[in-house]
Amino acid sequence: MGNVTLEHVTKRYADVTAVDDMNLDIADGEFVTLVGPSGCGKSTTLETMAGLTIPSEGTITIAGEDVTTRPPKDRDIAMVFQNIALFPHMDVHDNMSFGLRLRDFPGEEIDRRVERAAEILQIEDLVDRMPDELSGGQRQRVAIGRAIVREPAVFLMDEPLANLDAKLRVHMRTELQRLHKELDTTIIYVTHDQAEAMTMSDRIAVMNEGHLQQIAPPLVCYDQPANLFVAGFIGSPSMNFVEGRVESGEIATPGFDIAFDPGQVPELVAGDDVTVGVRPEDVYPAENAGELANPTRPIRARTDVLEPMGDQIFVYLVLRGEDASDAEAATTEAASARGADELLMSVEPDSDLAGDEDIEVVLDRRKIHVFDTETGDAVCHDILRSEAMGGEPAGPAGGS
Amino acid sequence: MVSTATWLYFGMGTLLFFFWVYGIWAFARDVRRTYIPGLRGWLARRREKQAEQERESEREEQEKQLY
Repeated sequence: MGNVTLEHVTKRYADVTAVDDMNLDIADGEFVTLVGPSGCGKSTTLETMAGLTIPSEGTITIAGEDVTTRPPKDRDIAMVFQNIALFPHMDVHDNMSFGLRLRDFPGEEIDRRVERAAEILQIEDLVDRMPDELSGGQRQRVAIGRAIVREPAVFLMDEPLANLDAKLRVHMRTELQRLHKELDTTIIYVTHDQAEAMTMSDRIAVMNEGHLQQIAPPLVCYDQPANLFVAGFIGSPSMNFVEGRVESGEIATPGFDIAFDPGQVPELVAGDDVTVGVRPEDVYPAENAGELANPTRPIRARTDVLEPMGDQIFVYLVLRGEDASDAEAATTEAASARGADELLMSVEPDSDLAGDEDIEVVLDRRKIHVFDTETGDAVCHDILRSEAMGGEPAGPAGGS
Repeated sequence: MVSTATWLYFGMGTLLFFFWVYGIWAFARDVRRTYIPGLRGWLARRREKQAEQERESEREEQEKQLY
């Protein structure tokens, strides 16, 4: 059984707290990704699980046993590192079987396991080759094979694809997903790439400054982020944020107002400072408002920069404000000078929008997120009918 | 009367004595200010390097346990 539990795990280095009161409960066979910006503590968390770092406080349980202070070899885990580190003087077979030979496995068993791992990773033809005769992707597969042959309860992976080029990384992502299906073993994966986290994981644990922000399935983190950090980190391009204030029956921002029924959304209290979040794909040109069941009132904006991506165009909009006269809002500079906010909109590639064009846009009110500006916590994710917060809170033990 | 040769003899002797004493004092000062701190620094760096190597080797050993 490869379930992993972290309870109140904290790691301090002199005056720096790398991981602060981390609680995680990972089920057997689950693929969980720790994701966050550089220095957020995700690798340190993984290293505490691996036994490479002993936590300052807290306990780590693997398969029901407290392994907090046990050396790595006694934890029934295997790890794949960012630095592939194959032994240059050993061929692929010897590299893959290194861990087994270290543990005095019989030769026949070693050959059986290496053969099976090579088959899973489709590198049967490479077992006699030396590392310098392999491509980057093949080397990474050998490193993964070295972990597979151990048949551990848990795989730990610390940014294993970070050194590969973009195309190979996408390919290896699917390979890892296939591998997880085939092995059905717990995988704990660390990355700073939110696309990797979104595509491969059963759940993602978003971290920032040593704290767990949210742990939930990828789409829950995307659709119902627990706070401003998760909302901004998950999704590319990032969510639009506009600061505003709750007034009776509407949220007023410098660029637009959003009406809501106070009876339906009791969390929104008049006078509260809030931050409205809306994803680029939930901003529509007003002429497409007919597609939406619940659009906002048209919002006047001026197109600024267009980024054609092939499958879509990102349009940067400068909001002109509802009270701005045409003369005032004649230029994007004037709009910016008034403190107007910006919005990023994603449109179809055949759109005929151009730069410096006055347009009207609408937001999908079902997809508007509201956050408390002061705490950053999510207040609601649907201003038409408030729903329960998604994901599980990053709270104390069990809050996984 | 003391002859010029005597003055010259004692003068030269005093000058030599001054530089002899100055040499000893300067050497003692250099030992205190330069050589001992230098040696201490070298030992500390050596100890630090050894500790770093031990840490790296321990880390490498632990990583090998995870292969």
